[in-house]
Amino acid sequence: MNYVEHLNSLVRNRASAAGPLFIYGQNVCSGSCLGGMMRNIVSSGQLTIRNTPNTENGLMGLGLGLMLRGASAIYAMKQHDFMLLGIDQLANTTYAMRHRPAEGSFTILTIVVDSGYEGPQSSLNNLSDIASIIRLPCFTITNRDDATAIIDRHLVAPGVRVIAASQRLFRTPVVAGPSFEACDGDVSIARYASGGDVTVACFNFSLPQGFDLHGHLQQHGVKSDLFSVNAAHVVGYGPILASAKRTGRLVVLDDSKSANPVSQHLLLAARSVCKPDRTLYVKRPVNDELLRPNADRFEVDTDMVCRHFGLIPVA
Amino acid sequence: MPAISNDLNSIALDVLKLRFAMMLVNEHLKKKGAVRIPVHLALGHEAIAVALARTVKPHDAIILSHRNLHYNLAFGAPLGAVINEFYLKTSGLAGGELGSMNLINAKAGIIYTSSVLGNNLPVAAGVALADRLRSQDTVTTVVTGDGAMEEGAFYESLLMMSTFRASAIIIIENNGWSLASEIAERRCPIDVAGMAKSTGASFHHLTGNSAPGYVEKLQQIRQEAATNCAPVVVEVGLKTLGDWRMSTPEYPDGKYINYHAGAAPKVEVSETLQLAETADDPVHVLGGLIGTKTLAELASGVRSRLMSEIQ
Repeated sequence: MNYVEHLNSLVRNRASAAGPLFIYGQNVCSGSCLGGMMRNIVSSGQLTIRNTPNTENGLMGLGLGLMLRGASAIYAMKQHDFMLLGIDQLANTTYAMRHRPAEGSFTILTIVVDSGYEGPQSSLNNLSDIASIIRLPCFTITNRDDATAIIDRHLVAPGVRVIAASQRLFRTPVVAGPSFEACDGDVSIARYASGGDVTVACFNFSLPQGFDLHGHLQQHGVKSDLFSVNAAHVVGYGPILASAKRTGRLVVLDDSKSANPVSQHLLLAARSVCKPDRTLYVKRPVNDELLRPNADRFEVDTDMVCRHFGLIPVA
Repeated sequence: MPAISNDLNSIALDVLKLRFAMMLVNEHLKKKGAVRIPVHLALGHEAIAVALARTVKPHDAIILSHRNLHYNLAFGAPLGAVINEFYLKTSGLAGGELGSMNLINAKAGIIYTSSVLGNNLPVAAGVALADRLRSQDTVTTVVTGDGAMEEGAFYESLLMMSTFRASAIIIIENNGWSLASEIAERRCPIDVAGMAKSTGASFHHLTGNSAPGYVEKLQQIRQEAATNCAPVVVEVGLKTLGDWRMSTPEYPDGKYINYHAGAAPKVEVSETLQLAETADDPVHVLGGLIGTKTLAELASGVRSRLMSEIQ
C-alpha cells in the first residue's frame, strides 16, 4: 500500500464513523479525486461529499460557517498553497471565533506541493509559513503511524485545524519507523526510536531523511533518539528537550522552504540544554533557486552529521 | 417568544429607541472621547434594522459587519451592556472581549460579526448550508455594504449559496460611500440585480426608509428565501446621517465630511430625535406616518426610559 492509499483508507474509515459529515472541495468526487486522496469516498448514510465551485476564499469561510453552526466539515484541497487565497478566513475569522468553544468541526485536508516541478507559484512547500499567520493547529503526516494517529485524533473533532500530506511521498510505499510513540495527546510530536547518543528531531516532511540518518548512525554503533514534529504550529518541545539534555547532542532536520520555520522555536528552546557546538541545524537555504522547477530533494549528509559530533572516527 | 406587535407606534418606538441610543453613544462616549475602541454609528440605518428584528424567526442566524450597533440594539441588546462592552468591561454584552466591530449576541441570533469587508459573507453561506444539511426551516441573514460587495467574497458567496440551495438573505446597506470615497469616485456602477440573477438569486430594492413598509417587505422576502431554498439579495438605499462641513483655509465654505466612524460632531439630541427633514431620515418618515405630535410624545418616553436604563 502506498502513502496516499493508506491516507485514503484512513479518511474513509474515519468519515464513515463520524456521524453527520460534509466533505467538500474542488473535484473531490470527480476525475482523480485529488490524486486519489478522496477516491472511493462517496455520499452514504450521514456522509455527504460534494464538488464545489472554484471559490477558495469562500470555501474556507464556508467551512468556518458550518463549524460555527455546529456541523462537521472537511475541505479537501488539492494544493496547500491555495490556502493563501483563503488566508483572511483562516486568520481573521478564526481569531474572532476563538473566544467561545467550538461545537462543530472543520478540517482542511490538503497536500503540500513539494514534488518540485510545479513551477515558481507552487514553491511554498511548507506549513510553517501558513501556521505562523493563522495560529491554528497544523499537522504534517509522514508515514503509516502518524497518519493513523492524526487522522483518528483530529480529522473530525471540535475546532479547526489543517492536516497536510506530502505530494512527494504520494506514490511511495507507506513506511513505518522502528517504533511509534505519540509524545502527547495531540500527536504534535512522535518518537520513532530510542537511543542515548544523539537526539534527532525532524520537521515538515523530513522524517524519511531522519530514518536514513538513524539507520546510518546505527550501522556505526551510534544510537539516536528519533523524533518527528508533526505540528507546524508552535508547541512545547518538552520530550525533545529532555532527550537532548540526556544525549547532549541535537540534530534538527527541516525540509521546509520557510523563511519563518517553526523548527527555530525548538532551537531557541534547546539553548538551555545543549551547547551551540553540540547542536546541528540542517535546513534548506531560502533563495531564488527554490523558485525554479527542480527535484526539490532534501538531502542530508549523514557523514557530515557524524563528523560534526565526532561520533564516528574519521578514516 | 412573545408575539411582536407590528402596529405603527410599536415600530416607531423601536426606531426611536435605536436613534436615541446611538445619540447617547455619540454624546457621552465618542464626542467626549471616553472610549478608545472605534464605533461606527448607524444613524439613518434604523428602519432596516428594526424591520429585520421583526422578521426573523426563532433559530434564524444573523451575521453582521463592523457597522452593527443598530442591529445589536434592534435585536434587544440592553444599551447599558453595549456601552459597557465599548468600555471593555466584563459586564459588557460580550464580557468586554469583542469591542464594537466584532460584537455578537448569540442568544439573540447574532452569531458572527466581521470587521473585514466581505469576510462575513462566506461564513453566512456556511451557516445557511449547515441548516440546510439538517433540514432546518431557517433563513440566515447577512448584512453587508456597497463597499464590501465589491469584494470577490460577495460573488463567491452568492455562487455558493445558490449552488447549495441555501436559504439566505443578503442585505446590502448601500449608503453610497466607502470611507471617504463615493461610489462614482472608486468604481463603475454594479448591476446588483443582474449579478444576483446570474446565479439564480432573486433581488429586491428597498428605498424610502419606511420601517413599517420594510417590515412587510422583509417578511415576504424571508418567506421567499425559505420556500425557494435560495439566496435573496436585498439592496437598501439609505444615507448614513451625521455628515458635516469642516472649514479649512482650503475650503472656506466648508469641506463636506461624510460620516464613517467615531463622533458625529454636529449631531444633537432634539425633541423628536429627528436629524433631517427628508426621506433620508427614518424618524422623519415616521413623523409623516404617525404625526409629529405623536412622534414627539413617543420620543419623550423613549428618552426617559433609556436614560433611566443607563443611570
